[in-house]
Amino acid sequence: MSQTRRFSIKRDLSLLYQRCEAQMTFVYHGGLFRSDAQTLSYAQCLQDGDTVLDLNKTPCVIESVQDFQTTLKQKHRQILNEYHEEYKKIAT
Amino acid sequence: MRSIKRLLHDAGILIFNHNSHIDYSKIAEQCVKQCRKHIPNIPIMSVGEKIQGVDEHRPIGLPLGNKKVFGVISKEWHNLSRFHAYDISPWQTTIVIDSDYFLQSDQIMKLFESSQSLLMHREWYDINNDDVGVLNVGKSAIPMLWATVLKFEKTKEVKKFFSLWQLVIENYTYYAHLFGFTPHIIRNDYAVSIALSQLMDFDSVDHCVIPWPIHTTRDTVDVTAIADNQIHFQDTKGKFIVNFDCHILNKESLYNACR
Repeated sequence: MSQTRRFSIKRDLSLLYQRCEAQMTFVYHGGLFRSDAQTLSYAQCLQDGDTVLDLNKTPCVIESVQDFQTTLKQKHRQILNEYHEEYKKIAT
Repeated sequence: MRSIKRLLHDAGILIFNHNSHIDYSKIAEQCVKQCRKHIPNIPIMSVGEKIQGVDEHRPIGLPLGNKKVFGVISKEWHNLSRFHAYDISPWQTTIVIDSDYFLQSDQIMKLFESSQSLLMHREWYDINNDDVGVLNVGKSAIPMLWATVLKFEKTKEVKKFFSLWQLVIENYTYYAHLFGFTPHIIRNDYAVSIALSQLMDFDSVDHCVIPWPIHTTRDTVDVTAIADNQIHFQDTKGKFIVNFDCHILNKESLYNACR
């Protein structure tokens, strides 16, 4: 593989990663959260009515943890699946 | 048919447009098209010179003169009217975007949905160098916020922020000497950063930060083509495609791609 091709793949993968990173942010009841592994884990410890801090350190009450977790999981799955599909296209 | 009620009372995009040596209206027109494609239900208003395809327009005269370096030459540039956005906007929630900020997704909708009354980017992703960073205002420790994408709601605090922004612009030389940056080219980025720091008594502004970086291509990257969902670029290392919202600094090549 040529050096130019290697560089091109590396750059495309970086751009893909940045796009997915930005997409990870989602809004829940006015608060901004990231659908990453850490938030997924943290959400397992919550109970209905708990207050959490969003990405801007603003308190946000989670009325229904189940609803929050569902939204979080959906976003996480959707973005990582897309990342995987696009990654394969670039790398192969 | 667009809802007039929504147009007048809810949320919208505001784009300032003043031509200089470049016909910015061409760039702004493409910017509006991108908004239409990705956020079709959000009304758009142009301020300054009318942009084709907008829902509303507010003519205003040329603002205070400014200069910007294009390539290696300093040229006239009219970017100093954006602090009027609070008074001009007909909406409760507004996002002011530069006409060289091209939407490639509906990511910006997250700002409308957020309950924060003021949001701007602090981190920037330099597409050339694959690097995410934060710049400071001159030699100060004040982190620079980008005025490129500015979400605001009409509140008393936000109104004060806009007044401070105007004051910083009007006293720019003083702040330039205070914080150690050049007074010759007035940057809205510096002005909003100083204004917000003043509003917060130079304390943290974390709550006003958009939690993803502004994706930016430098002057050295040429735009070769623009499609609905992707922008084609070229630099010394080759061609590449970007399919996320992007702030493009090379205005000449952007203009050529928009023609």
